[in-house]
This record gives sequence, structure tokens and C-alpha cells, in this order.
Amino acid sequence: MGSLKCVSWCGVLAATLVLSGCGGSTDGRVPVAGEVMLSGQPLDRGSIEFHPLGEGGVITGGMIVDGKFDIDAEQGAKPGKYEVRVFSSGEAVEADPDQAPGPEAETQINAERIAAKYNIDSELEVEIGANGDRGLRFEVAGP
Amino acid sequence: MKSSKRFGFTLVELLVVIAIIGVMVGLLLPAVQAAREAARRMQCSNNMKQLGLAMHNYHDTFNRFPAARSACCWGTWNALIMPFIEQTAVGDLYVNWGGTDATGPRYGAGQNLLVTGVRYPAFSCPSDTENTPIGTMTNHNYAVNFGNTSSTQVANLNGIIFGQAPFSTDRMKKIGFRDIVDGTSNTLLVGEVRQGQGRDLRGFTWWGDAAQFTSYLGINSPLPDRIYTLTYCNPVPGMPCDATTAENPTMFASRSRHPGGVNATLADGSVRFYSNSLELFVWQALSTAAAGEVFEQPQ
Repeated sequence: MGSLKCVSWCGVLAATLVLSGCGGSTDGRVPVAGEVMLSGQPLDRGSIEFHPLGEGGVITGGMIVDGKFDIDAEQGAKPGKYEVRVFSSGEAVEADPDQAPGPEAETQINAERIAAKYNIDSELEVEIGANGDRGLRFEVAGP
Repeated sequence: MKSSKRFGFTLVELLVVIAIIGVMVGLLLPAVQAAREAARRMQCSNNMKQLGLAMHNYHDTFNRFPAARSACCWGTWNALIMPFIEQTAVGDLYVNWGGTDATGPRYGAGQNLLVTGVRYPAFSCPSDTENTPIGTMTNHNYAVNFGNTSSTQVANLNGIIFGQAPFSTDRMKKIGFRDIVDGTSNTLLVGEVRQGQGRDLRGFTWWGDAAQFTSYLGINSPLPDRIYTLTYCNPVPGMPCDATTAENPTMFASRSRHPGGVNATLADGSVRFYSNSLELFVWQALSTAAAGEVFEQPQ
């Protein structure tokens, strides 16, 4: 019985220690997560940006991998209205990884795979609620 | 049965002692690691202080800040600052700064490899992991401030208007203290970047593209740095990257391994720590040299 009690106390202590490292302040930020579809298929890679449309918002964003993005509260958005921009670069420009890059780096450029109305001239808008939103879904298309 | 008067301890007592020791070590270990990181960060900020002083001494000598880069391949500020961080011999070894292919080797060839193939503690932040992405050539941790847009300093990047910077893509442009209209204590000079791992060329400051950072992306931004090809992009946690496009030109955010933010040298020579939670507007205002924003330095 005695050792069992000890073990349980040890468990409580360990849990306290582990948990005390968590739960930092997020400064009013909330998590944002969801999916991005390109012409009906999950967007394989890219990035998503949230630009505040009202007062008090913060610019945030994250990477899209296999159609999904997940921005945790620490780097998340503050509740409010946002303009959403989705970017995904082409992969046309290649380089020899054993050679130091030369002037070609300044002349070659990858094409953007998403139409301008989903990024630099974005028409996508979203309202982030007080507790964040983990089920967002955006449909985008190529240029 | 003899009554046991033996001097010893029971299993329970042993377990309690082990538990207590475990708890104490558990408390101590993070503290020790934090103290070590604090020491590394201090060394890192000292390096930045030295670079700030070197920039001032360079300005005293040449009446301008060092040129940041000579196009892609014919030298960056690292080679020019060498004589001012007591590496005159190394500085003399570097040839063809500001030249062309017709006049001598690029940064990664011939005699210049004797300079770029060496690690310099003065350019390395001990908190970060060292890397040599191509052959013996080294990545380092300090980059100069190119303002609030891209590495090409485009005038308007998706609505962000370029507000001048203490360093320019044009090596002939003479920028000095007179051009820092926003005030030397409100303008960044040198920032921290993280060394790309594997083939990743972030922090490859011998190369023109990677010699600088901009503030279009915030401190330790969750958004990707942009490098001209995915070949040189190796995203590790805290270092997202993607390929350059017309909409997102080549640019590198200031990043570090210090918990919660980055160090930065201001043009007055001071070094400050800026938190990840710093408003993007303030970070961009700090990086512009002549945009006249009204903002308050974080305390």
C-alpha cells in the first residue's frame, strides 16, 4: 500500500512539473486551421496569409501541406475579419546543389500557381471567431 | 525470530528518495539549459555589438557603410568588414570584390575559397547549428538590413512601400549616417538569420542574395522565406521556405534559435532583443531608414 501511495504521489508531482511548462499566454490570439483545395484537389504545397481588415488584427499565416494548414494559438489570429491570400510557387527553376549559385539566380523565376484573385488581389474573406476556427475551407483556382 | 535492529532502509524509503532526486533534477535541468542558452545569446549579441562597432569604424574610414553585395557573386559586406574585426589578413586574401568573371574568381572559386571556406566565430551565433551547404563554404548568422520589402528592394511589395534602408542592392550607392533620417536609434543595421541546414542556402552570406534580411516577413515568421529555387530550400521547424515568384520575390526574415525573438544591432551601435510578438508595423518601421513612421520602441 505504502509504495502504491508513493507511486501515485510521484505521478502527481511529475504531472505538475510537466504541465507547469504549458499554458503560456497567447496574447488574445486564437488558432486557425483548415483546408485549401486547388480545382477540387487538396493543394499539395503552398502558404496561406491572413491580413486583418479591421482594427486590432494581426497578420498571420502558415504553410499548406497536402491541402491542410494549422496555425496554433501562439502564432494565430486575433478574432476579427481577415483577407485571405493563398500562394503556391511553381518548381520550374532548378539548380545544381554542388555549385555555388551564380547570376542565373536573378533572372529565373518560378510562376505562381494560384490566380491573383486568391492572393495579391484577394477576394477571399473570413471572419475568425472568439475561439478561433479549425474547420476553414477555401477553394482556389489556377490563373 | 530476532527482532531486526539492522541499519538499513525499506524499498518505500528508497523509492521516495529516488522520486525526490528525480523531481530536483527535473527542476534543475531546464534551468541549467536556460542558463546555457542565455550565455549563448549573450555571446551572440556581443558578436552583433562588434559588427555594429565595425560598421561605425568602416564609416569613419570610408564615410559610408560597407556595400552590401556586388550582384550575386563578387563579394558581400562580410569580406569588406574583415579589416574592422581584426581579420585584415583574411580581408586582403579576398580578391575580385566588385569585379566580373573577366577580372577574377567568384566568391566560391580560386583564392576566394580560402576565405569563404572558413568558419568565422565573429559571424556565428552559438545558439545555432553550423552548416556548410556547398563544399567547404560556410553559412553564417548575421545579415544586413535591406528594408521592408524584398532582397531586390522593390518599391511596392503587395502594398508595403519601400522606406529606404541602410544597405542597398547597388554597391555604388553611398549610404551613410546622413541617410538614416529616421534616426540611428530607430533603424536596424544588422539582424540575425538562421543557418539553413543541408543544402539550404539561408545564411549563406558570401552570396549576394543571402547577405541580407528584410522585414516584409515578421520576426521568426510562420510564413516562408523565399529562395530562387526549391533545390536550396530545406524547411526545418521554425524555418519555412518556398521558391521565389513574381508575387513573392526572394526575401529572408530575421530568425533565431533564441526562445521568443531575435537580437538586432541598431545603427547607433546598440544591440536589442526583439520579441516574436512585436507588431509587424513596428518591425518594419525599425527596418526602414527614411520612411518617417511614428512608433515606439518596445521596452
